[in-house]
Amino acid sequence: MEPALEMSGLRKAFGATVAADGVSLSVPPGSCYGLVGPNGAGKTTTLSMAVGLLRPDAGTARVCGADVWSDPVRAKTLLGVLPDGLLLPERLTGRELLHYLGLLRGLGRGTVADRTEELLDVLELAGAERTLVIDYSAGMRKKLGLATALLHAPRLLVLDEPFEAVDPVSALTVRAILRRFVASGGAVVMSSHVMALVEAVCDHVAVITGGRVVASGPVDEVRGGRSLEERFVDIVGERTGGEEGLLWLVSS
Amino acid sequence: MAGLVLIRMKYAVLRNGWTGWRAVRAVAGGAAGLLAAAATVLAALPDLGAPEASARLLAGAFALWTLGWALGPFVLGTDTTLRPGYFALLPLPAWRLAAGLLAAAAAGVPAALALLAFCSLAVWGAGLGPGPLAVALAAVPLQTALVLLACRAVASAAGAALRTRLGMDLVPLLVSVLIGVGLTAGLMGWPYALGFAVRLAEGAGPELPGWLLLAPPGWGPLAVLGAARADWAAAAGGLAGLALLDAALLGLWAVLLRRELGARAVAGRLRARARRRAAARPLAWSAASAAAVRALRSWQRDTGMHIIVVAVVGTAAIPVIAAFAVDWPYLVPIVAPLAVAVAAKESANLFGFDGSALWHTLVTPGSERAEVRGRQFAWLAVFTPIAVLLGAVAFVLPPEVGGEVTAAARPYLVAVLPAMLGAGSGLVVWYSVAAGHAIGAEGGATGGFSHPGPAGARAGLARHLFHPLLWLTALPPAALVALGTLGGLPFAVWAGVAAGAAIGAAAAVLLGRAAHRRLAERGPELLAALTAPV
Repeated sequence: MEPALEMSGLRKAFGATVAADGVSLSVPPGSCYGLVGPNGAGKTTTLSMAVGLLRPDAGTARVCGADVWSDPVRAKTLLGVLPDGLLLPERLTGRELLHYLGLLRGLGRGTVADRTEELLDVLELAGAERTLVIDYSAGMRKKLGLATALLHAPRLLVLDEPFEAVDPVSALTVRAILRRFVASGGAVVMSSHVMALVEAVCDHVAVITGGRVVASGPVDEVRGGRSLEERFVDIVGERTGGEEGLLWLVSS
Repeated sequence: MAGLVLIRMKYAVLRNGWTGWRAVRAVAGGAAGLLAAAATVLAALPDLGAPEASARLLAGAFALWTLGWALGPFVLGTDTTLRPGYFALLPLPAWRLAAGLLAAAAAGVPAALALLAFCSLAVWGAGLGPGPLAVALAAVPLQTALVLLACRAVASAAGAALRTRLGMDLVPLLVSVLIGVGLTAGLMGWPYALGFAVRLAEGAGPELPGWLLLAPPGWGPLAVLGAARADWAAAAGGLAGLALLDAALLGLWAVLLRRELGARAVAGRLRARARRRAAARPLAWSAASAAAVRALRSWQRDTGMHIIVVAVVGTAAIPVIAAFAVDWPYLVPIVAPLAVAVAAKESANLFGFDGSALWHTLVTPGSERAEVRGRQFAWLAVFTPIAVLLGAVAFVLPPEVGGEVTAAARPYLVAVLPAMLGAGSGLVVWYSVAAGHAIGAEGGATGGFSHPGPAGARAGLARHLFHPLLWLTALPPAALVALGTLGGLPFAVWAGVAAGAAIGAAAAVLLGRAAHRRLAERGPELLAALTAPV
C-alpha cells in the first residue's frame, strides 16, 4: 500500500547550519507516527518541508503519492497541518476563520457550516463564540489550529507539538479524535518532547538528532524492552546533566 | 470564487478590528486620496488647445499615481489585513491566490479612489467622441489594476529582498533615499509646481515631455489619443500593452508569493552571527554599562533598529548630494538636526524592539535606572557620530558649493546639536517607557513595512510631536547665536553654545530620570503593552 507520507533525502541548511541532513521516513496509512528529538534536532524544519511550508534544498516529500512541491494542490488537499507558531488571522472569531478557510478549500456552504459546528462543539470552542482569535489562550489556539487541519477531512495529519499548552481534558479529547482518525485508515505524524505521550498515543516512532533519523520503526521495536525515555537518551547519546557542579546553589 | 471569499474575509477582519484610531487614519487617508483623485479628474476638463497636451498632462498625473502606489507601501506600510501566510496550507495555486488577493485589494476605498482618478480618462475621452470614450472605458480598469498590482508586486519583492542579508541594508537605504529625494524635491520644486498650476488654471497648455506617453502609466492616455486621431494601431497598442503588463505583474507577484510561502521568515533579527571576540568578552563593567553595551549590540543586530540607522543616514545624504549635483545647498545646514529629529522619532519605541524581554528588567530589583541610562548612552553613541559627521559637511563644503548659507550655519550647528541630541536621548527613553507598544509580529514577511496595530497607530500619531518638541529645544541656543552674529556680540554666540549644551544635558538627565521612575512604577503595564497581540 502507498505510504501516507514518504520523505526521502530532505535536506535544509541555513547558512552553515544544516538543520535537516537527508531525512528519509515512510509513514504507512493507518499509523500514528511520533517524531522525537532533542531541542534543535530539526523536527520542525523536517515537518515544514514535508508539508510545503519550507522549500527543501534537496529531497522530496510525497503525500499519498502526490509530491508536495511539484503537485502542491493535490498534496495539500490530502493533508491537514497544525504548524508550530501558527499564523492565524487574529481578528476573526473561530467560527469565521473555519468558515472562510472551508470555502477557500472549495467545500460547499452547508458542509462547511455543519463541520464547523461539530468541530467547535467537540473541541469545546463553541463557548467562545464571540471571542476573536487574538484573545484566545495558547491552548485554544492549538485546538482551533487542529480544527482547521481537520476541516477538509484529510488523509494525513501532520501535527507539530499538538499537545503543548493543551489542558488535560482537551488532550484526552484530541487523543480520542486522533485514535478514531487512525482507526479509519488515516495517518498521523506528530512531533513531541514528551516521551510518555508518544508511547501512549503513537504506534511508530522516529528519533531525529542533528538533522538525521537515527532510529525508526514500531514503538516496541525502537524501545527494545525499555522505556522510550531511557532508550531515547541512549540513542541521542546525551548525558543527563544536573547531578554535578552548582554547589553554590545547594550549599545554603 | 476564491476572490469573493477573500473579499468577505477581509471585511470580517476589518469589522472585528475596527477602532477609533483606525477610523481617524482611514478618514484622513480617504480625504487626502479624494482630493488627489478630484484634482486628477479636474485636470481632464480644460481644453488645452491640442489633445496631445491633455494626453501628456494625464500621463504625468497617472505616472504620479502609479509611483505613489508602487512606493506607498514603504512609507505607509503594506495592508496586512489578509497576509499570504494565512493561506499557505490551502490547495490553491499561487496565481489563484494572487488573483484572489488582488480582488480583495480591489474591493476597498484606496482602490476606489484610484479608479475615480483614472476615470479622468473617460471624462477626457467623452469630450473627444464615442471612439475615444470606448477606448478610455477599456483603459480605466486596466490602469487601476496596474497600480494595485504594482503596489503588491513591489511590496512582495521588497519582502523577498529583506529576507537576504544584503537586502536588509539595500531596501531601507533605497527607501530613505527616496524619502530624501521627495523631501528635497518638494522643497525645491514647489515654486515650479505653483507656476504649473497657475498656467493650467489659465488654460495654457503646460509643456510636458512626450516620453510621459511612452512610460507604462501613459499607455491609457496614449490609446485614447490614438483613438481621437483614428490611429487605431496606437489605440490597440496602448490597451494591449496595459493588459500584457498587468498579466506580467500578476505572474511576477504569484512567483514571489510562492517563494514567500516556502521561505522561513527572519523576523526581527539580522542573520549575522556575533563576532567571536564580542561574544567571548562582554565589554561591560557595571549595571548601566552592561545595559548600554547590550543596547549597542541591538542597534547592530536587530533588523528594525538597524533599519533606523540606515534610514537616518540615507535621508540625510540626499540634501548633501543635492548641494553638489544641482547647486542647491539650502538644506545642508539642517541635515544634522533633521537627522537627530528623525532618529528620535523613529526610535521612540525602544522597548518594543525587544518585545517581552522587558521581564528581565522587571524581575531584577533596582535595574530600571541602569536600563534607561544604558539605552540613552547607546542611543547617543549611535547617533552622535552621525549627527557630527553630517554637521561637519557645513564646515568642509567649499564656498563655491556651499555658498554663504552653510558658512553662516556653522555657529548655529555647534550650539543646536548638543541640545537636540541630549533632548532626543531623553525623549526617546521617556516616550518608549510611557507609550511603548508591541511591534507587528509579522516582521519577517515584509520586514518593518507593515501597518501598525491600533496601539502603534495611536503612538505613531503622537510621535509626530517629536519634531516640534526637538526643534523647540534648538530655539534658545539658536536665538542667542542669532543675536550674537547679527548684533555683533561674540559673547552672545558663546552663550548660545553654552545654552545648547546645558539644555541638552538637563533634558537628558531629567527626562531619563522621569523615564526610569516611571519604569519602576509602571513596569508591568509596559510589559503588558509590549506583549499585547498586534
